[in-house]
Amino acid sequence: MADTTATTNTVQPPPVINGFPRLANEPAGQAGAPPPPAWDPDTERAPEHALLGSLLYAPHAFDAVDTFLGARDFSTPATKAVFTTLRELRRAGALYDVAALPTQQAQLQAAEENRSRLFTALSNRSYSDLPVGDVGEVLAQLTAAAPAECVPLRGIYDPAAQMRLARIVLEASLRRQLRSMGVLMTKGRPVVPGPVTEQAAGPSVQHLEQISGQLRTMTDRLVQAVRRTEVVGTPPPAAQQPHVAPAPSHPPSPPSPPAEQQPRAAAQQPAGTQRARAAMTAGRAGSSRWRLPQPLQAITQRRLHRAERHLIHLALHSGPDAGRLPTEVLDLRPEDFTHPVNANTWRAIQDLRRQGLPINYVSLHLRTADPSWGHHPTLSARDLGRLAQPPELRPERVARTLQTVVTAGIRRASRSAGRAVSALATPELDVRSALDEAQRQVSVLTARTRTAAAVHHATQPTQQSSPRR
Amino acid sequence: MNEISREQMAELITNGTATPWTHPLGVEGDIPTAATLADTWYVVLDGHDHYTPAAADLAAVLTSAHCALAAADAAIGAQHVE
Repeated sequence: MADTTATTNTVQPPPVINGFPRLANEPAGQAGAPPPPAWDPDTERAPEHALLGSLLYAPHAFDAVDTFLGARDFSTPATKAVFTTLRELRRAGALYDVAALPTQQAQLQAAEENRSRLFTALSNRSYSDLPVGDVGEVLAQLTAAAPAECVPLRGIYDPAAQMRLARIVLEASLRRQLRSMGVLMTKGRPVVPGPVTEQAAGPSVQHLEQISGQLRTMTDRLVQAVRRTEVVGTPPPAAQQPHVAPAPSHPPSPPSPPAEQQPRAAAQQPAGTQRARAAMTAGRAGSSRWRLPQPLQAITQRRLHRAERHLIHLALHSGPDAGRLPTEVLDLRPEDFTHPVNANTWRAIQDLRRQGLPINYVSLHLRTADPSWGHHPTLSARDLGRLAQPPELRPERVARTLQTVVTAGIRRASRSAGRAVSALATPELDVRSALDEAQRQVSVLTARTRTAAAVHHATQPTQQSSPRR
Repeated sequence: MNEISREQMAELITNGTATPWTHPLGVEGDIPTAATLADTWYVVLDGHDHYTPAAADLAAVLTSAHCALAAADAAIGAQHVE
């Protein structure tokens, strides 16, 4: 077809070293050392090299690429010639679809065969008269941009990626062409988005509002669980239960009335309980937002501290296998505790449990006195000595303690989620961190709700076995 | 000369009479200042400040470029559908 030099007329498959054909002008004596990849990562030519290299090993996409891309769209005579030659080889069925072969060895052999055929066709100028220059160097650039070893990883050998590469080549070609014809170019919109504006944060706000709704739903479920616990945990009639002196401001608890007298009996309940039920009823009827019942709204720091100490007390007397407490209680995390001293003590208890050591106030004291503990504030020896006595083990008391700790945790989570939502109103908004924080709080809340539900379920049989009327 | 100022073209684009070129080209996202008005390409050439009707060869390039980009988008979309 076209005349060639004496060197290129003696067509031999190019010697291949480490996947790269040896450069044509490389002395034979240096065949032992692999040549460095001579790929020039020029921003204009890099997409062309990547596209041609991928089409060399995965020519299946040629059918679609050929509909909108032509040899005229490439920037150099060499790449124009390679594209034309590859297209004609593909039409002649002379190229393997390397990615379709089953084994890596077969793929590498097929890739080498494709390179050899392209080398031969380019050297003979079988399909294009355009000057290619050093054929070996051109092939080296293609194989460096699209290594045959990466075919199993797909990447640029994926047809969708090949289409996008072809479009990039087309865009560059059109830009060159229009500029050469004197058309004024303007800068388009920036690829990298600017600072997040209030309008752009709209979807994130919706997402956070959805999370906030889920938080309210979970709070609703927890309130229902607490109400059931409250009903079950109501002291039985005085005739069947030791009398507990009521608080001075409250009248003595009367025996439970028959079913038909329930409304009147409700009027005789302690004022706090009535207020709680009234608040819940008003919350349901008046607005869509839930309000926690009054007993849950009155979690003082003292009450919370007492509840956390009670949990520690229970853990210290849970026995060698911790079998006297539900696993859900022992699975509470230090972060679920409000007071740092209690949280650190709980961490020490978990350390002992993980190490399989007995959990009691002596082992706890030794653990916290160890230099590796790092002087974190924990219960003093005097406080631990007070916990030597057996703790309160009644199921309803344990449920109330756990309810207090979990409710306090939920409130912290709700406050954090609320802060995350309100943070969206500020212009210097970090939507990503706010969203992450809200999602973290939701995860924590979900775990706590599960814990409360599991403990409630565990205490249910014991409570149901006691007489309720 | 059928020159159209940038402000007039912007108004025509706003009211839907003219259609601007919106495809960014190349890695830098350059957009040619071109628009079609009544099946005629108008462009702003370097050193000018007005839209003028494109010459025949330039109009052919713009039309074929538009068709090629649409075909590329169709090919990319077909890959995603598969």
